[in-house]
Amino acid sequence: MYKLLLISKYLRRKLAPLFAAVSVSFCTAMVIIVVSVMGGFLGLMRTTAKTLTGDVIVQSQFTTGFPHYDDLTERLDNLEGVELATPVVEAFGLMRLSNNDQVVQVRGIRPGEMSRIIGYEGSLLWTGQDYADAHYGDLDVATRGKIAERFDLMLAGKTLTQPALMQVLLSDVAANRLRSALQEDAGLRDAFRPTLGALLLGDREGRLSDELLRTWLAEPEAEELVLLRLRGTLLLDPGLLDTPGFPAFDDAAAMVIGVAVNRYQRRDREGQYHFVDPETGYINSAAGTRASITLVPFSPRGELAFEPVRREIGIANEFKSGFYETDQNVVYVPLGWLQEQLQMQRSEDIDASTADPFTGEGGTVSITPARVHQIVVKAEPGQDTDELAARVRRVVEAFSEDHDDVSSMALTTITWEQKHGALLGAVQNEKGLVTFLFAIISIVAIVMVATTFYMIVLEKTRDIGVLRAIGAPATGVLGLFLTYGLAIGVLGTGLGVWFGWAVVTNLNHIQDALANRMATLVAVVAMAFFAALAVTVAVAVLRRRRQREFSIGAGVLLFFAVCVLLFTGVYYGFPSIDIPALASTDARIGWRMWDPQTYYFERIPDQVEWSEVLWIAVGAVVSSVVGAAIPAIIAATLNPIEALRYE
Amino acid sequence: MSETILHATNLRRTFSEAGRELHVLRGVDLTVRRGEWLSILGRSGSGKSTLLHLIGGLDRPTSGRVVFNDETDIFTLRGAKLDRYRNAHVGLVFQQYHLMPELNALENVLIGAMLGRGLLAWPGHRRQARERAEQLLARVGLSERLTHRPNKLSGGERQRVAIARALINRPQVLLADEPTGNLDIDTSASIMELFHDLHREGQTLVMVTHDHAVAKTGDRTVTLSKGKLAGD
Repeated sequence: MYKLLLISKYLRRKLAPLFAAVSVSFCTAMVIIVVSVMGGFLGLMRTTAKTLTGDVIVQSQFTTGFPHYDDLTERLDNLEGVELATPVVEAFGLMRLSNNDQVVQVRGIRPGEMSRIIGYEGSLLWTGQDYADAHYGDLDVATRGKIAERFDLMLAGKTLTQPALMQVLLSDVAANRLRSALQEDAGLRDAFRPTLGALLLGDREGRLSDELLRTWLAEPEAEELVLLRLRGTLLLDPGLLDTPGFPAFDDAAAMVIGVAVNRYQRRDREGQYHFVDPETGYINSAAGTRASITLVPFSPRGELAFEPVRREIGIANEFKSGFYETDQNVVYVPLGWLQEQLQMQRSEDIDASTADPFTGEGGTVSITPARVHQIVVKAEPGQDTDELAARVRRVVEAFSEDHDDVSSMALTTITWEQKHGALLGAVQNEKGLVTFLFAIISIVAIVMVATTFYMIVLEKTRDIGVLRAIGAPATGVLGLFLTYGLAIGVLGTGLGVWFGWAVVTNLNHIQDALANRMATLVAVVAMAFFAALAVTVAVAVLRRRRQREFSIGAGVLLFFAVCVLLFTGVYYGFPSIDIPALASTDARIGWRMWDPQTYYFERIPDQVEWSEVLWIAVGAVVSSVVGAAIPAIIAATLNPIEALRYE
Repeated sequence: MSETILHATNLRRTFSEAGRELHVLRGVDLTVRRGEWLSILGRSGSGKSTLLHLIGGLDRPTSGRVVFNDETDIFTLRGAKLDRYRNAHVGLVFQQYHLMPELNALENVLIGAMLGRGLLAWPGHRRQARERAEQLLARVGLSERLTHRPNKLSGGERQRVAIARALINRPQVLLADEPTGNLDIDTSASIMELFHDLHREGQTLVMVTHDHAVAKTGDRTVTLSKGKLAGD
């Protein structure tokens, strides 16, 4: 009991142990912040990596890919624990977008299936309305609405095909087809007459004569102009698409590009992308335009047997996976389209030497089956990935045995973790290292506690002697100082956990304030701090003047209480605090500790992992007790008589 | 109950300092009888404080024994038992008072009672101990000063608190080491008055002093000289 009495007195009347507690607090908070942010970062990366990859991937080691993938996909689909398996073709291509060349990773996918695996549809950014508003802002709302419908970029992204209107408007080939259809089909001409008449003559009454129209359509010199006007007609009146006789357009392949593949796109200070740049007014998005892609096909034997192919393809939409690496490099195209470009589709070759030399018939037909590079597998919820990978591996082995031409393809099965092992491992290492470094720094706290306690032991030597003289056992003195260390540790750790939690959960607010309103923040915090100090000093002076007791502990407590009160006010009131004098300084200075323009993720992870906090807290408390241990042992082994004589 | 409370036999205490042996006590025999007031007179450095520390169980002799209540040699007691002896059976009063600066007068007195009880046993004794502490402080004339900390008390008042603290566990012997050494004549007289009252109530007292006048107030005086007791 005397220990508790003395500890409570020492805590209230001594400043030094409170400093020790504060250093324990800061060390605890520091480690909590580091572990939380790095852990959150790792967690985000893992989630993103997993969502972008699928759970298990079966892939060929060769650029040629492997055949009979439909068989393998079916076998995997039927495997227990597999929700879905889908084939993917992967190639590198040179993409030219607005005179900008760059290498991209082209992934041929089945969009519907892929969406169920990687949440691809949810990552699409733009709607038709974005497109219509940006490109046809001068048209009236109703017309823009119609264009938006026809240009449904979401749908285009989901199906990886272009809507008919988009095709006609984007490709000269399609527009020319429309032109010849108009020349031949009188009914179609009639349908187009009012809109085209309005465009050409500024009149909608149908006074544009059939002859004038046909002459105009046949005008070879004005080809560019004709095509442009036809596009304008469709834009003004998208309903014309439904006219009988309007040439049918097949679903044409389109691609969806990572939003950062488009070099004209940039993130604002909050890390957001915009269709139209809010500052410059330029259209940043490439959605609804065209790009060309150059691809290099490989023969089934892996030779560079064909000429590189260059293809024009519409951009249906842009996606943002949330993972900058992917957003910057990946474009999605339909699986079949990419197979065709890369000569990976099913093909029949006739050996001319075995054919009848006269009729040219008969020759031996060799069939080359279609190929893909990988099969992405999504596990059922709750399925253990490694365990599933093992079963997938067995299926792949059986599959390889059943197909002679597959066995040499060296199919490997890896999990998403292995696929991103290098990156995840790096972040994991980073987290481990940083935690270790900060733990080392935390030794400072132990040393601080030890120093403080040593000083206390020196100062309290006579008290220790007295305690021993009136019957306190040596173990009691040891216990006194260890309990004191424990109290400091618990107090410091409690404050530290609170502080760490407050910082971590408000990191993004703090960074916003630092980035945009630094001067105001510094001013307000300083004011609150000095106000608290002033209140404390005033109360202390007043109490002393009235001969009333005012201990250090009471002062510290009062200071903290006023600080908490004022800072709470600052915290909740900050958005509405406006100091006009500081506005220009705010605009000039600012520090963004986490720049979403240059980082993978937009926001700083701000989740506290309480199981980790528990370990950190236990560590901090134990450290404090350890720090107090040596001085405590010294105190306990003091000779009572010498202690009493100590000056 | 035996007549003799403390019986010291052939107590020797030698200190080694810088390779030299310093024989402070060279075979002291001493008997303290129940209810008596024994003064140990001696000059500075004669070893009287050392003798008191040995009797009080604060120090161990180089050889010799101190038998308490005709039962045990206190130096055969180990750890906790010796602590218990210091806490419950003897009460120590020092020249420098040795109060705890963070505790007020009442707490300084109570801490002796707390020491004898564990954390769990304390609540049951708290009221009783507090009453006793208040009584003792009233007894030494400090009932108005219960919540004052030592730095707000005069030297005499501090010594009174120290005496109250020494008495909290009803010790059989009160050991006082130059209790008036730091006090002026009037205050000393009042402290001696207090000792007289305590003695009259039956308290056994052993007091160490260098002052003949102070020593004479006791029942019996022994003189410590060159490490040995001279004359009764």
